[in-house]
Formats: sequence, C-alpha cells, structure tokens
Amino acid sequence: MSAKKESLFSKKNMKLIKDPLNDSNPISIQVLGICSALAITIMLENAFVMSMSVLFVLIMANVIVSVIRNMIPDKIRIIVQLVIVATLVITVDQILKAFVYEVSKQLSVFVGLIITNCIIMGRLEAFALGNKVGPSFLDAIGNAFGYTWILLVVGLIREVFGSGSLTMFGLEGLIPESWMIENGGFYEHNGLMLLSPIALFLVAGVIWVQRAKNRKLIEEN
Amino acid sequence: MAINKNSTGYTITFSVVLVCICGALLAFLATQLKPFQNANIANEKRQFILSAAGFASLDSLKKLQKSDIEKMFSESVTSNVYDFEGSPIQGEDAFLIDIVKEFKATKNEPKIRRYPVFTCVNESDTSYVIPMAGNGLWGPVWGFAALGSDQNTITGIVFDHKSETPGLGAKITDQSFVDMFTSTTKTVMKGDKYMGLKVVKGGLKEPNHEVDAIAGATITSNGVSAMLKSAFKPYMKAWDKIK
Amino acid sequence: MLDYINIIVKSIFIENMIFAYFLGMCSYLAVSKSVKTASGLGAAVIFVLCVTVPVNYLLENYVLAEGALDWLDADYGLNGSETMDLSFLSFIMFIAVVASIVQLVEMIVEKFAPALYGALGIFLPLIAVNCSILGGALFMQERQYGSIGEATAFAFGSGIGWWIAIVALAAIREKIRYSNVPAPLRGLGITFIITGLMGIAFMAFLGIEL
Repeated sequence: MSAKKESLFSKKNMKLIKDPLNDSNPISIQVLGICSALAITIMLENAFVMSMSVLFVLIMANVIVSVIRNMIPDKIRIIVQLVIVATLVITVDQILKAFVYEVSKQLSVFVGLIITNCIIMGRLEAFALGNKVGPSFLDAIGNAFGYTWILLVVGLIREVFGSGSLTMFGLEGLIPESWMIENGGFYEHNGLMLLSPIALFLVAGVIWVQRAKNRKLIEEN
Repeated sequence: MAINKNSTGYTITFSVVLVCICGALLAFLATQLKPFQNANIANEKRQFILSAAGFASLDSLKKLQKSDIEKMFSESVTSNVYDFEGSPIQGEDAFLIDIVKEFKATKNEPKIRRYPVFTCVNESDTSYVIPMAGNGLWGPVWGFAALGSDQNTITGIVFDHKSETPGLGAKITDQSFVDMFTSTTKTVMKGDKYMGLKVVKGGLKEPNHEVDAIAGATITSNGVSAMLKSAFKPYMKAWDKIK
Repeated sequence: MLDYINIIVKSIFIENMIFAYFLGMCSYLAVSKSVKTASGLGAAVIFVLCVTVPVNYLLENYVLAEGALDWLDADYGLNGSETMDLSFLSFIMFIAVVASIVQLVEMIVEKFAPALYGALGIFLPLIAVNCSILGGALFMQERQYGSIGEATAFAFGSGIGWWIAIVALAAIREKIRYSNVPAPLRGLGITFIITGLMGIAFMAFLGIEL
C-alpha cells in the first residue's frame, strides 16, 4: 500500500474516462477500430450488440492483461494478448449464438473481427501493459464508450433514414405512409444509407463537427 | 522472487499455462452453451417449415416463444424420409437431417442423398413441405417449399441464405420474390411430366413452372433455379406422380 | 481455371476487402500518406494473405469443422472423432496461425531476402493485427470454398484488391495536399470522405456478371 494511493475516482482517473469520449476518441481521433465499426451500423440493434461485445471484450482484456502484466514475457507479448482477446471474443460469440441468434447471424464474421479490432490491441499495448488494474479498467470503459456513441449515432441515422424503422425499440414505419412517393407524397427511403460507404461520410461528419468545436485537434494535412 | 522473465523456460511454461487455461475455459463454455445454440437452430427450422406451410408469416412466428413453436410443430407436423427413387427410408428422423450439410456431402451424387419431407396439417388443409439446398454466389442458399394437398401446386415457400449480397442476392428472402411463387399457380408437374420450377431471365416461357429472376443477382438466381428444378423429383416418384 | 479467375476478379473488384467490408481500415488510413510506403504495406498484405489463408483452410477442413476429424477415425481408429466439432476454437486457431506465420515470415525474409525485408520489414508486425488478414480467414470459413486452390485464389484476389485500394488512396492523398480543404476536415476527415467516394465508385462493379 503506497502512501500516495489515490482514490479510483480522482480527477486524473476521471480524465481517463472522459477523454476518449471526445478529445481522444478512439474512432475519430485515434483512428482505431474502424474496420468492424462501419460495416455493421446498418441497423441500430446490430450497432448496439456490437458495441456491447466490444465493451465487454475491451474491459475484460484490459483488466486481465493489466493483472498479469508483470508476468508476461516480452518476447511473446503480442501473441499472449491475442490469445486472451481471442478467448474473450469466442466467449462473446458463443453467448450471442446461444441467446440472440438472429443478431449473431447478421453480425456473422464481424464478431470474430473484434479480435483484430485495433482499439483492443491498441489499448492493451498503450495502456494496460504499463498501468495498474484500476486505471486500466477506467481506460477501457472510456474507450469503449467513445466507440459506442459513434457507432450508435451512425447506426441511428442509417436505420431511420435508410429503412424508416428502429427495430431495436420495435418501431417500424417511422415515416408516415402518406409521405411516401408511391402514395403521392414527397418522401423516399434513402437507399444510399443502406450501402456501406455512407458510414464513412457520417463518421467524417462527426469528425468535422468535433474538430470545428475543438480547434486544437485540427491536423496539419 | 528472482524469476528471469525472458528465459526460454519461463516463456514456455507461461504459454503452456495460458493455453491450458484458455482451452479449458472455452471447452467448458462451448459444451455448456451448445444445447441453447442447437435449440435456436432447431427453432428457426421449425419456423421456416411452419411458415412455408402457411400457418403464419415468418415475422409473426419469430415473435412466438420457442416452446409455442415446438408445440405447434409437434401437433401438426409429421415427417418422412425418401431415397432418390422415392422409396421410404425407415428409422431416420427427417428433422435431424441438415439439408445444407446433406447437400454439400452428396454434392455430385444426388442418388445417395436422403430426401426428407414434412407433412403439415393446418385445420383441414394438408401441405407437404420439402426442404432444398443449393449454391448461391457466396455460400449456400436453401429453402422450404410447400405443396398443397394435390402434391403438385406450390402453396408457400421460404428461402434463406448464408452470405448473399444485401440488396441483390439477399432479395431471395424478400416477400416480393417469394410472392411470385404463390400469386399465380405454379406446379411442379405438367400432366405426367416432371417439370420442377425454374428461375429465368427475360420472360416466362412456361408461366406455370417459372418465375422471374432477380435483376443483378444472376448467380444467386441460377443457384435457386437449379435447386428448385431438381428438388421435387424424388417425392414425385414416391407419390407415383411420375408414370 | 475459369472458376479461379472468377473468384479472383470477384474478390478484387466486387467484394473488395476495403470498399465492401472495411477490413484493414486502421493500417489503411494510417499508412496511406505516400504511395511508396502504401505499396509496400499492400505487397506485404498480399503475401501474408496468400500464405495464411491456405494454411487456415487446411486447419478448418481437417481439424476444426464438424466431422473434419473424420480422418482420425478412418486412419487411426479413434472412435467418435467423426462427430467432434471444434469450430468454437476457430478464431483462436486462426489468429494464432496468422500471428505465428507473420513472425516466421519476418524471420525468413530477414535471413534470406534482406532487400525484401528492407521493403516489407517494418510492415510485417503491423499485419498480425490487420483485420483483413483474419477477415480473409473468416470469410474463407464462412463461404466454404470447395478446394484449397479456390481458397488461395480468393486470398490472392483479396490481397490485390487491398493493394489497389491503398495505393489509389495514397495517390489521391498526395495530390490533395495542394487543395484547400476546410480546416476541421483536414487529414482524417477528408480521407474518410475520399474512401467513401471510392467505395461508391467500386459499387459499379457489382453489376459485373460472373
């Protein structure tokens, strides 16, 4: 017990949670974990399940690696991390298949790709390997939520404008039938929202807003 | 404690211990969750069969509890298995035959394939649900087609796929595609002659035995066509339709 | 033969790893500042994909899939092996194969082809955690290719597709330096938008009939 033991919720530790939500967001600033994030945001529910899976894996992996950080031989560091992450991901995959079968069918290989989700490996390398359990846990929560909110925003926009529904809350036909062009109205579902490249534009939009509000994040090309 | 963290011995011990822990954990998890996963797969299959037989739409069946589906299924569905020549095979549980795996295992030998059929009684109507499988663009496609009590006219059909392209090949699961099989009369027999069903491009020559293909999804359409063309034949032999 | 060409063309253009599935985006965005390094990373991806996918294919079909261990029963009389299903281990096996092959390749290349190592070396460690490599293995598993040849063709095509994507993006980024991009979009933001536009352009290939 060191004399200078700080409380888990000290100012410094709270910063670990807050920063990744905005100023060092894993997706829009650190450029980590984009791979799996964009392809599964076609529906809010998928984005939510994906985020929760990443949240679980990231927290568990960060904590486990942090606990055994002094035991891991340097030479096989990367592969040890991969094995731990892979074990956790398989756990998630099996649980999804057992309890939310429909969603697991749609996420298909993207659950497996959490293993190589750069957020997880990136945070393990950059943080958990060199820090105590408490801060690692908070760092994981912060980064996972930073990832989650972007996924949810993108998923929300794509589902509402792409198919006019929010299946997660059992809402269908958010757009009144009488608005639709085939019923003489002015509205048509935006098919582009169902295609994958749109996710990139939406994330670019998030980046734009974020950096316009916080100008110190702007890159020099 | 003075353990050299970078010695070979330590590295090997560490990896062995780690692998054992992870392996044991996963094996435990997999065996514990297997029954749930199998129940999900069986439940989905029951939903497909019931929906093809016209009990309810797939969407409304999906909202029901697993136990309700199982009850509904066991009350109204019986099954048989035939061989290629239409003779019944005894002692096989039709429900346990995974049609996609069966198709893959007997890819070039349809003669040794087992052909299950599910007889569904919905109030007074009887329908015969025939499972089928084929290859799409990226992976397997499969379906369940229901024939009416004349054992000839299509009364319902559902398709599913593993990984067809969304918006193109994946449209085989859309209502608009499925409806083409039931909106006008489609039969598998033309008199005494076996026709099967086909998915064709550019106009129907045999409107009773063909439906329009999906634009832009040629390979998926061809896969579905090939599976629909041959799937019914053994049953027609079994039911003495082919003279 | 035609089958293989089909698979290659399909995986380069229609089901491009980057534009259709966003796999390997992290290194794609990070290493696309100059054409030369981008091309090096792309080449490393092609190479590693071509080695790991066939190995994982053998692993999948002779060890992991349900009933894949049948040969144990036939050749060595181990009862019950024909129903064994080890597919739950596939993620961990695939990633282990990828990580160890990358390591192995790095050592071999360093020893026998120092020139190649100079070009690819720094990228190899990056590749173990590149989603496109594991993605290649997982798509191979999901799509159930019929033979190891088909699986290799798929790996080759996907690698080439990835290479084309990153080189094209790097070329565009080299030019865009001279443009007046709105300040908050500079760097990452505009790169996302460019990738999106390229993705839409690649969708035109969806109409190809094979």
